[in-house]
Amino acid sequence: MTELPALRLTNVTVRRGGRDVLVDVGATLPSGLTVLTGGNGSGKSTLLAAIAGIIPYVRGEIAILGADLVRDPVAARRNLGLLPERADAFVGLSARAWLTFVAGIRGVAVEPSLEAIGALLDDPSAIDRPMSTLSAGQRRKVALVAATCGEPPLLLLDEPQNALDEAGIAALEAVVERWCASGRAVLCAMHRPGAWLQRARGHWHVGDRGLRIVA
Amino acid sequence: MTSLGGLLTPYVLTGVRRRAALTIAALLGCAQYLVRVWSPPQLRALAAESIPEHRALGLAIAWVLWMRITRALAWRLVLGADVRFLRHLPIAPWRWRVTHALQLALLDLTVAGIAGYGLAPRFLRDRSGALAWWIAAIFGALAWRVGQCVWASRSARGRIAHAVAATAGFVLVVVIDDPNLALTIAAGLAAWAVARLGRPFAEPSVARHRTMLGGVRGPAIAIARLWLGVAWHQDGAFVRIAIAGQLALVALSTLACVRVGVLDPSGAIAAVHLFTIAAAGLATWSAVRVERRIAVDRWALDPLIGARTTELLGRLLAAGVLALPVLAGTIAAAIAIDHPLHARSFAAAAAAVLWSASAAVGITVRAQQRDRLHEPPIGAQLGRLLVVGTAGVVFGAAAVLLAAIVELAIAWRRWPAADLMRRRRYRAPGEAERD
Repeated sequence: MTELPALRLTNVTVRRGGRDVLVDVGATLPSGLTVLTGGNGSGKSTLLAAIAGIIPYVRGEIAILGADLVRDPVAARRNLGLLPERADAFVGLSARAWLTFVAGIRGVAVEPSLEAIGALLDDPSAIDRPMSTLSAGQRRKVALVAATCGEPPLLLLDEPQNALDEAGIAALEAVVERWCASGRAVLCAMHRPGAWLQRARGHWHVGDRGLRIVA
Repeated sequence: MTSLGGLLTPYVLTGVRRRAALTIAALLGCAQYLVRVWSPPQLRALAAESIPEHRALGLAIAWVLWMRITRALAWRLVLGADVRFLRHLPIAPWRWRVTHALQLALLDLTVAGIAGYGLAPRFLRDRSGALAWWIAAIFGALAWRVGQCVWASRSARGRIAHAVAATAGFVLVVVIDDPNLALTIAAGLAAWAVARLGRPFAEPSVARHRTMLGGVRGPAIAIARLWLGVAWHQDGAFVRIAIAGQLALVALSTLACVRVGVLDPSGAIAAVHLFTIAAAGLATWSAVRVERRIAVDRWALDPLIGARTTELLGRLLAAGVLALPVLAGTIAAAIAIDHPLHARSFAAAAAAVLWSASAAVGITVRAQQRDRLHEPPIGAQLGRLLVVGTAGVVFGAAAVLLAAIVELAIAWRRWPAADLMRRRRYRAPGEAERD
């Protein structure tokens, strides 16, 4: 992998709903798993959304593998995958249509195959039904596949265990393990990290509108 | 490469069609009626003959109204949660620019069409000037839309300040009446707008919580407040469209009274009933949408709500409030405009409000009983509109009132079975059966 940090935040300020949620946040993300903790409403999801380029930040710089999110948005976004807290985007589409779209945008094939995804959903026909008719856990599995599509060097996971069954959690842990083993970076926001903290290489904590690097 | 516009535009438009098809159809119906009443050639001649200040003011009012009414759609196209989520994908800024600019241009095709129609006579004597004005109108509309999206994250006061400043600029440019100046300004703004479309937008600011019926207490009132809160906060765009539609239909009913109230009072009364029932139908649809939105969260409410009287009364009150613009509009029209059929209009409006509320309750209770609340009950709604509309036209307000009473009585009788079915369907989060 490149020597560039997977993610560098420099004095980033994010405003949401008319108030500064995060002020002058700065950090460099190491490779491997980093857990992001913080209380309810502290700004974990906001930070991930800002890194992913969904929420514009008002000050500072975000660079993903050296690519600035504003000046070089395509390269920066090509380097990241996002599993949002709620997988409720484009639920009117089928999982097949959504994953094909994401893979098309990233210029790769859907991986694993759509049949394997059907098995992961415990129902092969689910892949062709509108995602609005899938359960929350099934939608989350589809979102996990979409996030890892194209094997991006940086993976942002927002409360990844939410709504997942044991098979889903096993798939999630396999993904995280694979990412860490290959020297890529995973930033994982969690309310209750539990055992994840032990295997994490870094620990960030969000609170009081700032970011503290715990480990 | 998969087309971004190919995914987004049909997806958003399908959502809009599903959510607001009836309202759009009602508004188009009103629009075609208004076009028949005030013919476009007359309006164009009037605009051409009036002094620049009056013309600018009239155009500004029409422009701002159009932009405001369709703002929700522009926001949905550019700022929808789904659309903003896509910003994390490696999509080139120029793709965003092209996709959104085309979508917004499509949205404002009406502006381009009306501007072209209005400028057609000028085109014959001043080709370049008319063309410059026409392009300026298209560019200006695009810039206005992007401004709406940029300012969406600001407070309501900030948005109003922006709209006032932009309107003042619009009026000034139209009064000066220099096509080259207008084109220069509009082109500059459009260039900024297109550049801005390449970057992500902040989410629209959440509307400030408003307390409805804050001082009134009681379980039925609490239910009504909850229902209205859901309507306002989760379906605000539709509620506003429905209110606008109701007021437009009341305006048409008043117009009928003014124009033929003396010559043909029975015809005018029939028109009044027709329009007020149609307006009430819009309110009913609003209330039905609220019940459908609440359905998935009923598991949280059912332990709190148990009594038939409480729940039905609460729902009735909420649906009645959603239909109040019909009555308020009729009263306002009676104060502002003189015609001989005020009493009949008022009776028709009052009966329509009662019918609207009871129809909303009747439709949703029946849908719950049949476990069909997840499907939009378009057939039930249209059937009621046809039957009650005809009854109102033929037999008057008493028939509408009778329909309301019958509807309520049936809902009362069906409620236990509907309640049982609903509790079976929505037991706990995630356990809801999906179709």
